Amino acid sequence: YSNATLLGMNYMTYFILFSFMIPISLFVTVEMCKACQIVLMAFDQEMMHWVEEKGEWVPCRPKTSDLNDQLALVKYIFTDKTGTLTENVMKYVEGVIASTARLPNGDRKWTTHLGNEIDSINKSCDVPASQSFDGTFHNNRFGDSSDTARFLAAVSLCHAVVSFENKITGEYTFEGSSPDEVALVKCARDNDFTLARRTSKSITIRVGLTDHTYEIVEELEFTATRKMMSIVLKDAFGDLLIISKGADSSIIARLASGNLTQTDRETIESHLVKSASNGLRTLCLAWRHIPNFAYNTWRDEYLSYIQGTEKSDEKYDALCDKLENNLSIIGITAYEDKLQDGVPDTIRFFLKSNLVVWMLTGDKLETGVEIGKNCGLVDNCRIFEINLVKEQTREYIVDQSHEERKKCGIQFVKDKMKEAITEASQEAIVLAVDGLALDHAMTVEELTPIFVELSALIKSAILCRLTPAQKGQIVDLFKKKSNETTLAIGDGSNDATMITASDVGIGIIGLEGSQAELASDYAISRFRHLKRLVAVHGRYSLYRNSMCIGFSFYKNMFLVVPQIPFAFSCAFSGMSLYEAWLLTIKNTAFTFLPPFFMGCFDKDIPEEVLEDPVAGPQLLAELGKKGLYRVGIKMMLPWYCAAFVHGVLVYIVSFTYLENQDTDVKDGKISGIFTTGTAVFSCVVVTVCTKALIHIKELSVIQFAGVLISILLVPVTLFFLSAFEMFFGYTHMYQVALYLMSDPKFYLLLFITSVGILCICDFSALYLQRHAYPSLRDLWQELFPYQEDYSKRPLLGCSPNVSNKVAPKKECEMPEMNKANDT
Amino acid sequence: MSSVNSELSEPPKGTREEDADQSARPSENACVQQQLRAWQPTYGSIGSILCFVLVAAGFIPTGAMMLVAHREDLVSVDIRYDDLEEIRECPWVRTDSSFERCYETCTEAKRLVNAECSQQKKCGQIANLGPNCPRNVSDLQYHEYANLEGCDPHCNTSVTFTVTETLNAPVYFYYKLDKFYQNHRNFVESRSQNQLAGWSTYDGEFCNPLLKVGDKTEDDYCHRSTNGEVTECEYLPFGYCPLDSGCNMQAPVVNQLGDFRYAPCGLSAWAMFNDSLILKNSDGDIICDGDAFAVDGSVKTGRQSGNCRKTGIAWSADKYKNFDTPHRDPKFLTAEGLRAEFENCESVNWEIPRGCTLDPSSHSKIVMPHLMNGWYAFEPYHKIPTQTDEDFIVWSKIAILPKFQKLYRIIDVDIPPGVYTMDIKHRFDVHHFGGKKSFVLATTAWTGGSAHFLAILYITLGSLSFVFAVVFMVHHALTVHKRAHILEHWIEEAQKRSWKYVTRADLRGTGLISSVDEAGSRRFSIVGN
Repeated sequence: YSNATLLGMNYMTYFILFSFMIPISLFVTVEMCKACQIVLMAFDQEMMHWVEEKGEWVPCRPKTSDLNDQLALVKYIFTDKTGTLTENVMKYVEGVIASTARLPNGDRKWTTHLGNEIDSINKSCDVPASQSFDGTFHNNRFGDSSDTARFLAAVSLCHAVVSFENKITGEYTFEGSSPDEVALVKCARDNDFTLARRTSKSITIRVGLTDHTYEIVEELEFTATRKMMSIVLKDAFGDLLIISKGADSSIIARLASGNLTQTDRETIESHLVKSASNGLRTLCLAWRHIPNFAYNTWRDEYLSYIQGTEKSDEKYDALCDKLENNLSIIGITAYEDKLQDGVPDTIRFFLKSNLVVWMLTGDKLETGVEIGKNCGLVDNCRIFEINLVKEQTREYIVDQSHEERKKCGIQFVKDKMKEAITEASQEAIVLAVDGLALDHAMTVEELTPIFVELSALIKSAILCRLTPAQKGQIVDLFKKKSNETTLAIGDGSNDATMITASDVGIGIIGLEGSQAELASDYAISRFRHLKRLVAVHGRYSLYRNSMCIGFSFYKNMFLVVPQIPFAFSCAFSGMSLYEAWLLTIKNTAFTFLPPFFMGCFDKDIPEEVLEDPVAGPQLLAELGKKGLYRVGIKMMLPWYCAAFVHGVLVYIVSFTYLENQDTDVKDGKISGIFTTGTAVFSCVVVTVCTKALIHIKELSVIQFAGVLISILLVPVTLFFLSAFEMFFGYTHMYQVALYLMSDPKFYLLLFITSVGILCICDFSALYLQRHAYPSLRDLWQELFPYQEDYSKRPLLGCSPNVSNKVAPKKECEMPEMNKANDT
Repeated sequence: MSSVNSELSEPPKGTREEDADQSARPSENACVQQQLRAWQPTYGSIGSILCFVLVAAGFIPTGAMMLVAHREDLVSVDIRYDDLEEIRECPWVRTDSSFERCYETCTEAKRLVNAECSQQKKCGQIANLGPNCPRNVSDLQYHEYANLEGCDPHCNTSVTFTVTETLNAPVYFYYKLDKFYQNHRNFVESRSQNQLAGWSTYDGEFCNPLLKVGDKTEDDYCHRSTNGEVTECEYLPFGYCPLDSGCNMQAPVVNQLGDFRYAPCGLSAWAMFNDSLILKNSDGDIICDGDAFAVDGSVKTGRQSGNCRKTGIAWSADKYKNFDTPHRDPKFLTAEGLRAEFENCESVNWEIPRGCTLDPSSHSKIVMPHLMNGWYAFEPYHKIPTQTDEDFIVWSKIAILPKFQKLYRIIDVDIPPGVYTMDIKHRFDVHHFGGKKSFVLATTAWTGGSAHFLAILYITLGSLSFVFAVVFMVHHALTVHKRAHILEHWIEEAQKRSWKYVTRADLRGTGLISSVDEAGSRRFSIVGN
């Protein structure tokens, strides 16, 4: 080689030494930590839920480990209502039955037939004993039966529920994908309209003792846009009839003109509002005869659609519309969905943490608002409604043309939103928007910016009557608008879009299939577990990852920094201060465990404090701050500084004294570069491990063991390497340990770096920071003396004695959410 | 609705107890549940201050003990000698042009070279080529070279110095170099551990640039044109010539010679320190003659070593394991081996020439005079070190800094105060790289050598720690009754961020609030109202 090449090569070698500054091992370590974190999530007993049907505990099911720390940085939470905030266990409450006969003024008679007492023992709803359906239903066609009988028959016929008969007890049990349908069928059963058998061809209902079999001609499945489903049946007389069941808006829109008078509409509306404001969900039932020829014509179209290649929801809906019209009303069902345990606490917790919680539901606005009130979303705030559907009913613009209606609607939404903006800037309001208004707000060009502006001001909102696609659009909008993390939580297939669209998707393992769970990043079984997932596991993961990353950078930089001044001593020849083998196994052996255990087990603040309704939100809100735990320059800077200062000090301490006279042992012999380099290396490793001790917030046996093992590995490895004359081609280390360990100066050096430097630099800095400029976290840590029950805990994981975990008995007053002062 | 409400108001915590009846939850493991007993250090005032006091209490006495030990036990004399006139003026140092003076100690060589010079009138040119004086000695017959054995060109000088304190035996006798980059990567790498350990596996590739005979000197002996091509090489009597050069020797010889490897090979061996130091007292009695030892550590016949020894200066691990007589590889050129080969040169199979080779043109024997004398090729009087020589082993232990000292001899008698003389045979030039050299006489303490700096550091850090402890203590004393201010600060902070949920109840039982209570200075009501 020419001299220039040699110089160049030397120079590059010099830089290769610095490659250790970037911790390659970090990626592996962090991934392992994340894997460990999700294991801890999955095993967390606090996040397990007993599922009676399955007879087992359902734990949290994390699907990814990449988003652990994102959980704690969530700013927007979008939640579904049914099945997420509520149990999704439906209980039938009441039915409102429309009479066929009309009153003299042409209006129908409306009877609230089934009592609203729901807790009878054997039946999910009461039967007025005087009624004998048998007589009225038995000999008549569907249309000619009594109102009540028709209502119950419709309930027991129009669904996708399968019946199972217990041969011994003669009881029937039902299974279906939709819990509300099952609830309805159960109610019908309790009223003597038992769904006895259902095949793909026919449905048999048993009324009293008689079986009535209907042939299933067609099933028009539920679609989200239609918000209804229908079934086409052929009765014993060979007549075709269609029974539809769905959201009130959909059904009412498809009734035959004149089927309802204005008074009827108002009656229905009042019933619906009343039910909804009690937090009940409602479904309307309607039916009509289909003339055979009309059906046959339709069927041809339908078949060509089925056999055709072009399939789309729009086409299907359009086809369904052709049958589902001119219906006549049967009645309205109302059933309740209980709120899950702990939902209000959880939502209040998030709101106090300055998180934005939006409820996105497919239900009616009134239902949504009522649930919102119950679940803590509204709490003392004024609800600002933008209810376009209601507006349109009230204004009697039903008869206007579609275009005009839309135009009016847009104007209405625009005005309302502007009003909301002025109000929201003065006081905290809860926005309640219905699907139609939201559709305008999202799609009409001039409204979108106003909506975005408004949404920035709103902390909590209730969006109702949303289609799955709209849910996804909302989440997308927020994601685009802000750089903050969005979280969507839902249980059904209709939530899958929003779960996929959000940064962090949470699925509720519920009754509505597994689609949401499959689309999610983390699946939990109860909504209240979200608090623990975010505030405890999310926070810990964020803290742990940041510690792991910071510490890994620190330890690698620390090792490299002494090489920089050393380069001046070795003419920039690229000579490594440390022996090659030590350098190779450094990250895997000596300094692997402390950051790994930090990344797996360390806790900055005990769980009890994090879950505390007072402390928790403040600590959660603090996480968003830059420089605390979020990986960034501000967070890394202390680590870099520490590495630099320590590196330089270790160099000065060891080299200034080495320059005086080499590390010589007592018999005057002189050591070489690898002995001294190993001494420096040991100093670095021991100092790194000791520093870990300062930074670990919860020093369990495992953490201690990790540090201790790492420190002890130094002499062990040194002796091991020293025992071989040649270890894979290197002889430098032969008997180095022996000479090093017999030199008292080695221990003096170790002691001064690991104790002296750390104490003077790090510990004093820590003390100053904690006592002069304490962060909220520091204060909480000091304010909560949480060692009381700790002495009872097991030292190691072997003993199953965790039941003594008790929440600290603190008399925290329930915080008063005064949102008016928040903004 | 009322029933719904009452259910809602139940705290979620209660569910744990309810669930407890149904079935034991899986994984009741305290580690997995993150419920291990653990110590959460909060680094409160008292504990931290205690830590600092403890560090101070540990460090200051340690430092003091070291200082005391050094004062009592450590004596050292450090005399630099490279700046002496005799050494600066030493003629055969490559800057000097007076060629002959170098060989005053070697009359035979002088005679030969003079003859050479008068014949060829090339003295100046030869002299300018460097310290390795007579190169162009092609006319020499091999028996004439034989007489060069024992020739040892050097410059003599001596230093007189005073010892003020008694150095108690054992006194360690070091030489010390400065600005010599033993730790240069190329220098460190340029050796073969296997060869040094006397193993048969040979990793000589690491030895570059001094692996094979002639490796170093190609450029010195061949003239190059301006574009860098070899135009003409001087006549090399030892048969070396690069294949592609315009030499008048033929290729096969070159190949064979180029195959020879030095043992020990590498820069480290080549650059070995080779000054001789002889310590005498004021009466002229020899205390330690460093030159009187043979390579195996024994005293040369007819020499007086004084009261010192060479054995035991190297690490035992190195001496008994890492360094051994080279494996008997016919291609290894050792000083002794060459000599032996040379003696039998006549009988050596010419195909495997050792100390000699054939001139293909004349079919007569051509000797390799330098190698034959155990010298590096083309470098007369520069001896190839012996692998088992402890001096070489000590030298091979690479120093971590460019300023280093190495154990030279161990003196087994006390050196009382007085005037001493160090006679120096100067061979190792430090001027051309701007270095320094000196000798050191020193004793050791329990810390080994001097750890003065470390002692000072211990005392400094200890004192600093004590100062910190005092400062923090004062800070604590000042703030212990006023810690409410911190609380206030924090509450203000909370207010700023509109957190209004801090209640006095939360703070009850914490150290903070109780101290506030004791002071009786303030009472906190629900914050935020």
